[in-house]
Amino acid sequence: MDKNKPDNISEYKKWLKDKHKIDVDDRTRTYYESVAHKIRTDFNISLFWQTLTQQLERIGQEYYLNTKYYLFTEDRAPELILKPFDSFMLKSFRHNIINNKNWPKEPVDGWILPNNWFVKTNDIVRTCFVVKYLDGISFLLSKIQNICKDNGLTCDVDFEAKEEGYYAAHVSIRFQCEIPRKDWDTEKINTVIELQVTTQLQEVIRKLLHKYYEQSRKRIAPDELKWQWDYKSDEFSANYLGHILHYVEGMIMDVRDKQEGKKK
Amino acid sequence: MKSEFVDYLNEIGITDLFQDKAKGIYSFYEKLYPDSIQDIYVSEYIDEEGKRQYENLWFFTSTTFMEAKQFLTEDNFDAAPYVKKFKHWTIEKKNYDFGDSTDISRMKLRVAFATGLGAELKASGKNCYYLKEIFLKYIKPNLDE
Repeated sequence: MDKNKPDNISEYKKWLKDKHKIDVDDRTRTYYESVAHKIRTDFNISLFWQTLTQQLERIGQEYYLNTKYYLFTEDRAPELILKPFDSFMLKSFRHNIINNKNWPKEPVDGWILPNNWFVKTNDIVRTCFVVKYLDGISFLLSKIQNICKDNGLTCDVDFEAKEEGYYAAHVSIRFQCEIPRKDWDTEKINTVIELQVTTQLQEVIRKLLHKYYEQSRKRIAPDELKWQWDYKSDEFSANYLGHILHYVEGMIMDVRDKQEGKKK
Repeated sequence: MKSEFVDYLNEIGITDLFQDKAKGIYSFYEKLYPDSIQDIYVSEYIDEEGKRQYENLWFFTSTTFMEAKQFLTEDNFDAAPYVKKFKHWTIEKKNYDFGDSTDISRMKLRVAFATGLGAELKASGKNCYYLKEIFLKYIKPNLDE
């Protein structure tokens, strides 16, 4: 193992200072938080978000009229969440160090550093829509994409299906906003807002496993035994539970479709 | 659709596309019974997850009631004369004293006709008040004594 390769956040901060002359201190945190708040405020009052939140009831009604089932678990729009500074640092640590196959050179898509990290980090502001059924994900995604298009925003949709049993759709919306600079001036940046769409069952498991995922993301050394074979490990139970739930949700859809006579 | 009907639908949470559906059904019945529909009622209840489930849409003339079953998702309509046709009624209620209703009020009204047919109308929250009004105006005076 490369002894110069940071294997925790403290070493990572030292590496940032030695290699890139970047101090990560309380001022960095305060600045990050002021920028993150500004991005959220701008997105919150954007025509896109206003339109989407106003149309949620209508979207839910359209799904109900088509399927006889409610789309959402809750009637109100989900909250826009700010990525905490520590998670933000952890994400750049994973990008620059843990997942960097070019180490000690820069990653394929470049370093994430203060001069670009508000542009290259795609979930400083994010939210999660929870739908009741699996088909609700693609239904809602198509509506979000239409509203993006109507408002001149570009978005990418990614149906995440991870080996670790994580299933959700992510919509990454490219959003321009004006953020404060350290010299009190402002600058316009194109950041990315992440809208996640998941199902009620996956949301339950996500909340249960949140702490476990947080720990596993900080890990640098791969476990000697693959988690798929280590049936006594937390990963074995947690990850397969995610896969099983996804399968169950598919079966629920199958039963629902059969009840409605949609099957040929 | 009459403005007071629209107000009623808004009050019980039937807006937008759901309201369009109700208006379409009103137009259908209006063609069959021109200028005679005098009242509207939506049977609904709160399910175990706290979601309001809308069931049947009712209209009343001075002599006939009309019911659109599962009106949001089905096209299933009927109508019947009701004057002096009811044989029996049952009311189940909770947190409702037959005055003004509150969010936690619940009411269920079952009626039976002399023919053996019957109907069930449910209400939650403010809708209990409207169901009481329907009961007093159309059901109670039309018991076949």
